[in-house]
Amino acid sequence: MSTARASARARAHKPDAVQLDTHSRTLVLGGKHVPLYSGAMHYFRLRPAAWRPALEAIAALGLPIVESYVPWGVHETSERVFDFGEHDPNKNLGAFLDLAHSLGLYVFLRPGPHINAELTYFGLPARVIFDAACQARSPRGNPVPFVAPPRMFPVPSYASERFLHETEVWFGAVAEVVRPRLWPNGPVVLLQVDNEIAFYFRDAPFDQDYHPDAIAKYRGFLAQRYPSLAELNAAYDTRHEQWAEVDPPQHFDSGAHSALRRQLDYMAFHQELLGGALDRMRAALSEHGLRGVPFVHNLPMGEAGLPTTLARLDRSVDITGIDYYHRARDLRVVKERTLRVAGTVRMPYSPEMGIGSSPWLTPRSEGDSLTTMMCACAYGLRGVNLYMAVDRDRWYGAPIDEDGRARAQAPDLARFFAALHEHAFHTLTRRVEVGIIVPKEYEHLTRATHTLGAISPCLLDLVGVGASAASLQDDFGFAEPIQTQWPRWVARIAKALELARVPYVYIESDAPDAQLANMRVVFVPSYELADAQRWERLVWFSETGGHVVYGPRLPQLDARLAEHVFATPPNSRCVTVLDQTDAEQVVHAVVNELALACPFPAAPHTVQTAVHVDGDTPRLLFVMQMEANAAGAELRLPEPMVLTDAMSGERYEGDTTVGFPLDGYSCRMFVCERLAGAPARQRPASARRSVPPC
Amino acid sequence: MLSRDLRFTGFSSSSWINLLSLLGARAVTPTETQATATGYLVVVENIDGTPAAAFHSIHGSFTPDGYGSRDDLPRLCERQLARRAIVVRRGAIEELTERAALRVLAEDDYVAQWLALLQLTREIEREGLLHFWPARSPLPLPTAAMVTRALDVVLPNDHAFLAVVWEGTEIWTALVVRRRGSEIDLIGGAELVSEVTGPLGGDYRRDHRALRRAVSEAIAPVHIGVFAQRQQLMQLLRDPRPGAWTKAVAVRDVIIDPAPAYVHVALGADTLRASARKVGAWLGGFDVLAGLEPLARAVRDQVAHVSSVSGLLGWNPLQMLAHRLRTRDSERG
Repeated sequence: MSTARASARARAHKPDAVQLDTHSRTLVLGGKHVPLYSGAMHYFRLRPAAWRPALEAIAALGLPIVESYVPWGVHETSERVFDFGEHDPNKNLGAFLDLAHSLGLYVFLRPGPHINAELTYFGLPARVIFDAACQARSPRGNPVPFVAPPRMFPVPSYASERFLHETEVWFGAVAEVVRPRLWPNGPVVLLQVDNEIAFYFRDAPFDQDYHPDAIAKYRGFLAQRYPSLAELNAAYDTRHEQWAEVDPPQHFDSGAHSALRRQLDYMAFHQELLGGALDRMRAALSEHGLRGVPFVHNLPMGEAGLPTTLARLDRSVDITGIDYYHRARDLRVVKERTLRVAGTVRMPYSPEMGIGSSPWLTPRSEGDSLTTMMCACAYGLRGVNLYMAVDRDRWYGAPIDEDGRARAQAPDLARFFAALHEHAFHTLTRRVEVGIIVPKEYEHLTRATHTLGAISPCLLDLVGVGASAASLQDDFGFAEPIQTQWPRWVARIAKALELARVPYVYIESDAPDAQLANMRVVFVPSYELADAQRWERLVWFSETGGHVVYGPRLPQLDARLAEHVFATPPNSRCVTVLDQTDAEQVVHAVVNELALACPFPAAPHTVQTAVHVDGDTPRLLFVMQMEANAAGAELRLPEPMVLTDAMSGERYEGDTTVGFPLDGYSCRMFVCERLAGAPARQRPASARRSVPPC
Repeated sequence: MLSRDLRFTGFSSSSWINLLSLLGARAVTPTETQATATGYLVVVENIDGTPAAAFHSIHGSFTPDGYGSRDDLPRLCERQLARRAIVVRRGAIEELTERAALRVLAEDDYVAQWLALLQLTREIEREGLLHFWPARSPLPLPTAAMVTRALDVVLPNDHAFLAVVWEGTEIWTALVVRRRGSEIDLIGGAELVSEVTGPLGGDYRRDHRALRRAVSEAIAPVHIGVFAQRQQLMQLLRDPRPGAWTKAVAVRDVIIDPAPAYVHVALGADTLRASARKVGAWLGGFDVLAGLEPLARAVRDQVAHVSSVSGLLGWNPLQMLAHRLRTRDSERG
């Protein structure tokens, strides 16, 4: 059983534990449901006199929770000696928590060890950063510097026993202050383990970690995967006589199937190395008495190229989210990323919804921040942490200044959250019947064949060229280069679904079965190679009434490239998608055949909608203009309706259609109401599928 | 050069973006406006020179058909509508990061770290592991010591640089940079400047004195202060014509207060360029400045030690410009 599920089950039996209700998407605190809307404020960067006004201003935005990092490097004054306010009142974490409690706010704490927060050395003490035993290692055994200002520094190793031990000592110190203040005795209702766990942004496939402890863990990982050395030798075409001779690959050295196996295993190891580190850090917090609250983790942007998946992390923690630091012109990226979170994790959440930004990142306006957040909510996010709500050093653009005064953009944010609260947005549903599966083994192949070293797939994804842009274009004996073709297949299907106005999500292939439960059809890129277990789940999905559209062919090799007989799912079709026209024909046929819902279709095609329902009743409707030009949007209505803009109060009504203007790269949120006196129109019977878990 | 404890504070999104828009403002050349090709190509080569992967920085990956060698880059760029191309030999970035690991960490200054990284990039470029098309400028990289010396001139230790830009009567953006202990330790924005100054009248020609005084008292003595209206400053930043800056300073469209000697020298050079162009036009295209090159070199060499611009040049460029402007006005009148 995963760490997160075991912990959730343990909490369910304790009335004084904070429950996470993934149906209402709230924290349940003794019967009270609290949605996950919070704002970040770094107590250690503000004058204590500013804490109260800042907290009050956070509450005035409509946020019931305040979030803060707890920086190890700030609180540690000398080796393993910590100041929590005994000497410096700015560091009085206990006083800060008590003040928040007295003001009726809950608290979400993030004690690291990695916090970034634009702090020098990402908030870690210099003595740890420069301890060679704690540092990640390159293939040649060198430290691995990261370019963050104001100093490049060698990043720590997630495998280093010394680093993990030092982290445990730090957690022990934090726990002394936080444990007595866990809910219900205090305000702390959420804890985060680490931050953006992706090798500190040095995340390319063969960039690190060749720390001796990592190599030992790699051998242990292989020993679990291959019951004997003989089996490993057979799989890798090697002649090792003992496990100690098995070294990790240092680059993509060959396209032979034996070498591919080895390299795919190494990608899988990276994922487990990170997941294992997270498990261990979470366990350390619990051992120090920090339990009874849900644990959170956030992935940085560029997740399509990261060494781990949302689904894997969602097994280690209770809430897995992603960061958003986009401009309004990135609306399509915001949409795509949110659809992946919404399709994969139990509680779609953003622990860092950028409001303002760091000066080192792409500049963002107030409008960029609000539009990004609205768009993310439109496509399925159910909770956000405004990062930052209160301004601080090395940041700009938070809605509350460092003295706790509201800035000009605060009223817009307050209006937005008031609307979310009023319509219980967190309990609404964006109904989706179509999933696009993102196969983990294909992502691993894309990563393994990356050719630009530290200019990683994640970075390429982030700049918009796609994680596979620098992947080798060799076919390795397959019919086509799978590593570059599968993302194109997925992109074409997604675009066709968008053109057909059919809501969809991306589902990582290692996501729990529950993520498939409400789907009627899944689209699956499928080449010679596939994880056999994943394929069995597709067969189960199909046997229980779901439709599977796969292509271009049925696999013949399992994830270890051994021959395997793959069953054809009973309710499936194999399709060829060589270009966008093919994809649109495939989607058109499926939409017609299954009569898939296309709610609130809009024109022109650059205008997109996302409706959130309560039962079958539309409650909130988001309308986005995805391009730079302003547009006159026209929506088809399911019944006579009044749409009221939740931010401006403007009203638009119509019987069958309604029109209104949209700025370029914008998002509007409307409250939907049936037009008074209009006869109820017959709604089509729901064709939703509901099956027990596999 | 950047303090480990660098503080960045006092910016709203607007004031930060406004500031960046000023820094990004520059003269646009006709070639740039006419260019249709955008972005750049990255071609990853195998050891034998065959392409392993390729992508366009905007449009993503493509199959580099027709790429046989680096000589094919111009054609490839034309076909893919790219302005530049970078060829990376497989393993080049890995080689760079391995070499950089210890060299970069040996430095305890961010600028020095970047310079070390750039030097290594040049090194692997010389070894043929990286190739740029079109070829990059062969200008040598400065050393960290050279950068520090330049900073010593522009912003001496324990002093501040202050720039405040107005839109009408409101401050549109501001920047204060403080150097302390030989490092930049503070970058502040409009909110910080307003906080230390208090309420202002809204006329930049008068307010600049109060701003300079307040920042000098609260943050550090101001070594150079620049005060202007947004529109005028934007226009100047985009206007490559010689003499534009000197004229703006002379008529107080831009106020530089205090104005260190190097600013006068720069303005003098600006005036000289403007005059030379005018004289050159009268003389049918003769390059007057070429003859003045030895003098310009002498000025550049002495710029760090200048205490009196008139003493150095033998004439005062602002007085000369004021005289020229007066003459022009009387001609019009």
